[in-house]
Amino acid sequence: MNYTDLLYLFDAASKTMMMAIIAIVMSTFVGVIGGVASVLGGRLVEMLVLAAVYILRGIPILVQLFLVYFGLPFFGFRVSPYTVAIIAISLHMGALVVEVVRGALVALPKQQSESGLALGMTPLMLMIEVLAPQALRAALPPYVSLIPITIKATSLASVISIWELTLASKEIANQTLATFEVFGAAFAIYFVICFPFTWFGRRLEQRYTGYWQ
Amino acid sequence: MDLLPPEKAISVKNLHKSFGDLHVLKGIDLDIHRGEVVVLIGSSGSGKTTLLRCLNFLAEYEQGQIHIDEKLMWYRDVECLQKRPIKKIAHDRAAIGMVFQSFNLFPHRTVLENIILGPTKIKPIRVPKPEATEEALALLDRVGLLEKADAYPNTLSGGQQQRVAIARALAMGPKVMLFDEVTSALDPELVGEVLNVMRQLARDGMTMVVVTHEIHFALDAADKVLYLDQGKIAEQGPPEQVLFSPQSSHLKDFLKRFEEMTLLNQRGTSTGGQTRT
Amino acid sequence: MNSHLRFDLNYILRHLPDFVPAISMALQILALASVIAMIWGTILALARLGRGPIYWAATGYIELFRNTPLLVQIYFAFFGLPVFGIFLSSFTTGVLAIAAQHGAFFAEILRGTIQSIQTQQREAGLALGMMPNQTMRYVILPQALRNAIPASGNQVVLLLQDTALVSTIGVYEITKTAHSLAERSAASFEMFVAIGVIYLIISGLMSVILRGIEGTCRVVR
Repeated sequence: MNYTDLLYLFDAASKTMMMAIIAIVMSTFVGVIGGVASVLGGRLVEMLVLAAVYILRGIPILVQLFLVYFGLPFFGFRVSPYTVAIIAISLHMGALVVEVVRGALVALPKQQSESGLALGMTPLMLMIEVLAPQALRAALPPYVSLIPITIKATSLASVISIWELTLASKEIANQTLATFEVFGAAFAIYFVICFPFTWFGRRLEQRYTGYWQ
Repeated sequence: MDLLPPEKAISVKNLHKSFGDLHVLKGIDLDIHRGEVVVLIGSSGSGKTTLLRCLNFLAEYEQGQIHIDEKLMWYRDVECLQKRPIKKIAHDRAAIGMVFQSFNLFPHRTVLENIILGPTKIKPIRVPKPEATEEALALLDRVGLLEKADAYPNTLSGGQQQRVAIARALAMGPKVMLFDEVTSALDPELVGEVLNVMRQLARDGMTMVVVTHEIHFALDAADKVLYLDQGKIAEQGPPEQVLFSPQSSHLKDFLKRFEEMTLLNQRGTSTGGQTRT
Repeated sequence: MNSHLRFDLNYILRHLPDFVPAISMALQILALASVIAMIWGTILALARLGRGPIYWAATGYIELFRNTPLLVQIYFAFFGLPVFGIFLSSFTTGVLAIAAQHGAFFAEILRGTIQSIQTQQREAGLALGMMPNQTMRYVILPQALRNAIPASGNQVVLLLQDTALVSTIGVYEITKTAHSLAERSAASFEMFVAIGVIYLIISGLMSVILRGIEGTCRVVR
C-alpha cells in the first residue's frame, strides 16, 4: 500500500465523518423529541414510542438498512442510497437516543420537582430551571458513548455501495492484496476517530457517578 | 488451658506506617503476652485500626518489626527492605484470625460453607471436608448458631453474621484473634450477643487484640488497655487504671464522651436506645 | 415492478420453509460465538487484573475492538487470513470475528462486576490466609460472574443482531437468505419485513428465556 492509497482512505474517512455527523444531528433531533414526548405526552404516546424503540432496537441495523432501501421505493419514494443510509442509521440511533433521554428524565428524583413546586414554580419554569439542566448532565455521558456507535454504524452503508471508509478499504485490499496494511490503516483511522469520544464518555461517567446522591 | 509460661505472643517495635503523605503510625512499641486480651481505644484517625491491620499485614508498614512467637513477621529483614514471598505471608495470615467491622461474610455461600472454606482450601490446614464440617458445626454451636448452618448470610441479623464471622476466623485455629470494631456496625440490641462470644473466647485463653468503643467490655475482659493518640501509644495499663485514672488531658476528654453516656443512662433517659447493662 | 402498495404476503408464506435452515444457521452462529466470546472475555478480564505487558495487551485489545466496526473486522478476517495462508470457511470466519469483538464487551462487563465486589470481600479472604489468586477463585469471581448474568444476557441479544453481518461474506443465515430471495423476485420489501419480524420474535423469545434464567440464578446480595 502506498501513499496515494492512504490518501484515498483519508478521503473516504471524511465521507464517513460527514455521514456520521448528519446521522448524529438527525438522531439527536428525533430521539430528544421522541424521548420527551414519551415522558410528557401521556400513556398512548409513551407506548407508541416504546414500541418504535423496541422494533428499531430488535432488528439488526443491516436489515433496517435494507428495509429502507427496498421500502421507500415500495411506497413510491425514490431516493439515493446515501439518503437511505442516513435515514436508516438516524432512525436506529434515534431509538438509542430516546432510551438515553428517557433514562435521564425518569431518573430525576421526585424531590426535585416537589421542592421546586413548593417554592412556587410553574411546571414550565420547573422544567427549564431545575429538571432540564440536571437531566442534561445525567444524559451526557451515555449520549457521548452513542457517537462512536454511530460512526461504526456508517460502515454498514458500504453494503449498499455507498463509498466510505469500509468500502474504500475493501476496494484497495482486493486490488493490492495488501490486506494487512489496508485494513490495519482502516482500523487505525476508525480508532483515532472514535477513541476520543469513548475516552471522554468514560471520563464524564466517572465524574457523574452518584450524581443524584 | 495453656500451662506454658506467658511468653511474648506478639511483639511490636518502632512501627511506622504512612498512607502517602499521611503519617499514621509514629513509632509503636507494644508487647502482648500469650492469653492476654488487649483493647485499643482512641478517636478516629488515631491509628488504632491501622495498627491492628499491620499485625496481619493487611496494611503494609514501611518501618519497624513485628514478631509473633519470637519470629520476625512479614519481612525478611529488620529494615523492612524485602517482603517475604506471598505464599509465606498468606501462610502466616492463616495463623491470625481477623474479624471485620462489616462482617465480610461470603454472600454466595451458606454459613457452614463460609466456615469450612478456609480449612478445606487453604494450605497450612487443608482438612478433608467431613472433618472440617464436624469442627465447623462445633464452632457454630459454640457461638450459638448451630441451627443456621445452611442459611445464607443475607438472612441473618448483623449480630448473627458477626458471630458466624468469629466462627469462620476460629475455624483456622489461630493463635491470635484480631477484632476491628466488630460491634460498631451493629444495632445496640445485637451488640451484647457478640461481646458475650468474645468474653467467652477471652476466658478460654485466646490472645486477643480488640479495637472497640465498648468501654465496659474493656473493663470486663481486658488485661491491658492502650489509648492511641495521633499515631502513638499515649497511655497504657490495666483497664481500671487507664479508664478511671487517666493521666493525659486528651484521654480525659476522650473518656468524657462515655461519661456523658453513663450519666444519661443513670438518669434513665434512653437516647436512641443506647442502654447499657 | 410492484403495483402500487400491494404487499405480497403469499410470497412470504410460500418461502417460509426456506428460512428454517437460515434461522438454524443464525442460532448456531449465535450460540458458538457467544460461548467463545464469554470465555475469551473472562480471560481478557482476568488479564486486566495483572500488570505489565499482559495488562496493556488486554486493554489495547479491548479498546481496539470497541472502537472499530465489526464489519471491518469481518472483512479483515475474510480477506486477510487467506493471505497468511489460513483458509477458514465463511462460517468459521464469521463466528471468530463476532466472538473477537464481543469478547471485548464481555470483558468490560466482567470488569465492572469485579470492581463492584467490595475490597472488603477480598480482605476477608486474605485475612483467612488465602493467596490473592485464591481470593479471586473462591470469593470474587463466583460473585462477579453471577452478578454479570443480566448484562451478559443483554449482550447476547445484541450478538444476535450482529450475526446479520456475516451475510456479507456469504453465510446463509437469515439476512443472506432474505437478500438472495429478494434478488430473485420483486418482493424485496416483503422479504425484509418478514425477517424483521423473525428477528423481533427470536430476540423477544431470547429475552424471555434470559429473564427466566436470571430468576433461577438468584443473585445473592
